[in-house]
Amino acid sequence: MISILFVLALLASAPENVTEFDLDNGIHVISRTVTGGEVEGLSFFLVGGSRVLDESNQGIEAFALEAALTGSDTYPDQRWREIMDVTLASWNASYNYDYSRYHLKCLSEDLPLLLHGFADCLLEPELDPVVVGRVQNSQLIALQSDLNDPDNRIWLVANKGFMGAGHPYLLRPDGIPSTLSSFDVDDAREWLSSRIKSGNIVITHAGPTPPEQLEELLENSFGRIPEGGDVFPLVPEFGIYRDTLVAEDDETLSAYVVVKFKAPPVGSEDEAAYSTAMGVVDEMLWQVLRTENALTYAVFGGSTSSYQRNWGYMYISTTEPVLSATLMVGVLSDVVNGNVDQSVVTGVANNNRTTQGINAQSMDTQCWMLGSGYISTGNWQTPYLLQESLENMTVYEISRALSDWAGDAGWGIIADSAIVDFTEFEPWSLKGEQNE
Amino acid sequence: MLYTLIFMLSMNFPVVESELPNGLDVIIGEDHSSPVVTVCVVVNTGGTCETPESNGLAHFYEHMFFKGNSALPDQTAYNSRMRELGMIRNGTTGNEVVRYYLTVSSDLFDEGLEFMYDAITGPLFNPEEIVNERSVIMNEYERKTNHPFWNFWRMQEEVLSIDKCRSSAIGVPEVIMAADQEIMMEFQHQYYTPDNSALIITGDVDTEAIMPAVEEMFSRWEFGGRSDYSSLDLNIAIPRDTTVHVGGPEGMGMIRIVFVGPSMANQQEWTYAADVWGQYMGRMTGEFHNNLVADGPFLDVYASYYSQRFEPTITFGGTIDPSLADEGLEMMRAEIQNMFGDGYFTESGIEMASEQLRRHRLFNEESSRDMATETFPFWWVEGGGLDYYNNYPDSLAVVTAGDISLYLNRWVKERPSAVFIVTPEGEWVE
Repeated sequence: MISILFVLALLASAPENVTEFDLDNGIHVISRTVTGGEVEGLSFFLVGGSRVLDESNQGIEAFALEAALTGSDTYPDQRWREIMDVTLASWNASYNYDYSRYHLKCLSEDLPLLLHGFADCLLEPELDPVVVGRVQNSQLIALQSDLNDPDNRIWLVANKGFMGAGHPYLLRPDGIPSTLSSFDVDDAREWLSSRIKSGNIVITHAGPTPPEQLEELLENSFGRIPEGGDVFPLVPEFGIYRDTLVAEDDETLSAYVVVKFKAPPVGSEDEAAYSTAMGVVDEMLWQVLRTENALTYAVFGGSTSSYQRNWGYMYISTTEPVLSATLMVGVLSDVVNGNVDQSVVTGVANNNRTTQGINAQSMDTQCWMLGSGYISTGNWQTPYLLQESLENMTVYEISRALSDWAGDAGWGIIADSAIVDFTEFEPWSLKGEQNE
Repeated sequence: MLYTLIFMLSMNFPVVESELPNGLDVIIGEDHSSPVVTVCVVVNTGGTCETPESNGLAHFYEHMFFKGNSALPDQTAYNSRMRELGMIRNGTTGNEVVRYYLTVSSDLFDEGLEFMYDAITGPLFNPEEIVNERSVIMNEYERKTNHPFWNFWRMQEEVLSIDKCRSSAIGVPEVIMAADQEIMMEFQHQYYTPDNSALIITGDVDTEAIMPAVEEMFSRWEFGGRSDYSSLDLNIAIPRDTTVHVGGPEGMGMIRIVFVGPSMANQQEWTYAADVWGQYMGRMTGEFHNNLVADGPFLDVYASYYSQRFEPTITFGGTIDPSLADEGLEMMRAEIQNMFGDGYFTESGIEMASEQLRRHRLFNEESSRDMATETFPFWWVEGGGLDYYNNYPDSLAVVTAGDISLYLNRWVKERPSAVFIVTPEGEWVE
């Protein structure tokens, strides 16, 4: 029996017309009704991410889901492709540290068929070895292409020092070439069988289909998913206990530098202040490193906010990594010490308000916000309510939050040793201390 | 105003197009789904307007748009004002179009509009800021050279372009490092005029209420009449069959067979059949996909027409295991020949392709901000105004198998092509 839990918008910045309910098997659904169009967005979240992986099966969930989505016993490959042709629907997959997400974009009239087919693919996947082999090769090429680009790879380099040996977030949800190439259809079948359980799934929706109708559609499709689910261990703290630096030598004209440091978890009382602080850091990095010193085209800072464990970060691409890193540390120190104009702090809240308005135009983004808020805190409103906390934030509050959380720094650098002197690299301290 | 044309472009929100006496096209779309408004200025310029001596300056100009102007003396003041307004902004320079856009809360529309007006009409091109920006742009250039497909992009320019300088908006280091105030002002004088631009506004606004302010402010922008954009020549030529083995990323193979396509500048009558054809070929249950992917060596394939005024292309392509690239090329060539056989294009398939294009448009129109920053600018430039986009569904609906055959016979059959085979072992551009 489906129970409507509530329909409300508690505060001005939370969207209206949001309904929560559970399917009979316990799958939790959050739907935002958006009238006036005929485009639907629906996200299927499979909770777990890196926490359900180990060294030898990194990427298995990405592989299994992509393989499953090539057809089922009822909707074999050719029939499934026909449906995709007729509907022009798109499925966008993403895999991160805490969950896998499949997002469907389609017209309202096609929602029943596509949901039924999708659920069927998960429960009764065809897994034709030839078709699955093609999927696997495509994934490998995409992965290799990502790893070839230092702009993508630099984030992984910084992880090595920051996360600490054995941390689950070091396991890559999209796999590494050696693991991804080792999977076969039996691995995919086994993985789907163990993971496709109601307790592991959250569904979010944004679009014109009203909640009552959506409930019926979902019950007819995902209601078949067996009950049960995994018990996820808490994600441990990041293992960094001193400033670290990992440098990689590569033939690139521009060097890349990333530094990561701890951030408060979602729902923490420090979250809004820390997030604002990093928004201020972002503004000042641009001012100091780009406007005043012309060291870069791309520099930014920020913080993650949708994982069980989050981090702050600063990034730059530059031909002068040492000078840039020193200036980045200076910017962070200024914010920690409160050497910031209040107008910059207010500007971060202003920008965030505009961003929320932009996000409201996209069904995809709405589905992501509803789902990530719910998965990380149990409350879909969390990302929306952040704006309330940003208003009236003071310099004192942001400097205190940043000072409390931004401790040891995990640096990553990719540069060409023929151009840049690697002996000048050091794990620069964010606390203004000299490292030996 | 010279005229006002009101029509329902989108299924979701009404759009009004008008023209100010100075020649500026004004396009306004009302979308009250969220309390923000987006303002975009699109200009008929880009890399295609450049010579070897100015290669990279259209893009350089875009950077200077975000610096000091007659109202905000330097970038620090500029950034400060953006923060006050909570403004999210960006700009892009392509080969055929340059656009600048900002989004603000709808209660700050007047301020956002004024910000855009000052930036587009009154850039200062402060020499110190120009010198600084040279280094910034050089870093952007260096980043691009690190991209896994940089070599392939360069090779395409070498093979397809008549003037390479018109195909590379990022430009060349010598020109970037020599940019100065005078040449920026020349660029502004020639291209940044209302008769060569459009102002696009979408979001939570009342068209009738904002129109007087828009008209009053932007009518002050002085008519130019100096742009040569519409008289520029085609910049693509494939005089003979050419095959190039291009160096690419490890583990990846890619094949592209390129033909010259119809220009959006003066051959638009061909483009409807071209788009229906591309969609037809993209069907995952069509012969092209079945023969090359489901029963062939490719991981994915596509065939498409790229709507461009100066470098229009028709491309057949796909991703493949590098060790199968030669075999894949032969199969793709055979599949291209198959297209000319009887019965390859069925009426039911064409109907499906047309319906897909209709749906594609609906999906694209989901966000009014995307309409202001992507869809309208692209079609306004490529179509020479929004009539092309507005009439597009009706024009697609009447495309027949015969039209597609005529199109293929004219643009592909026995026409010279450029073949790019991208594998890790291919050639590298210096």
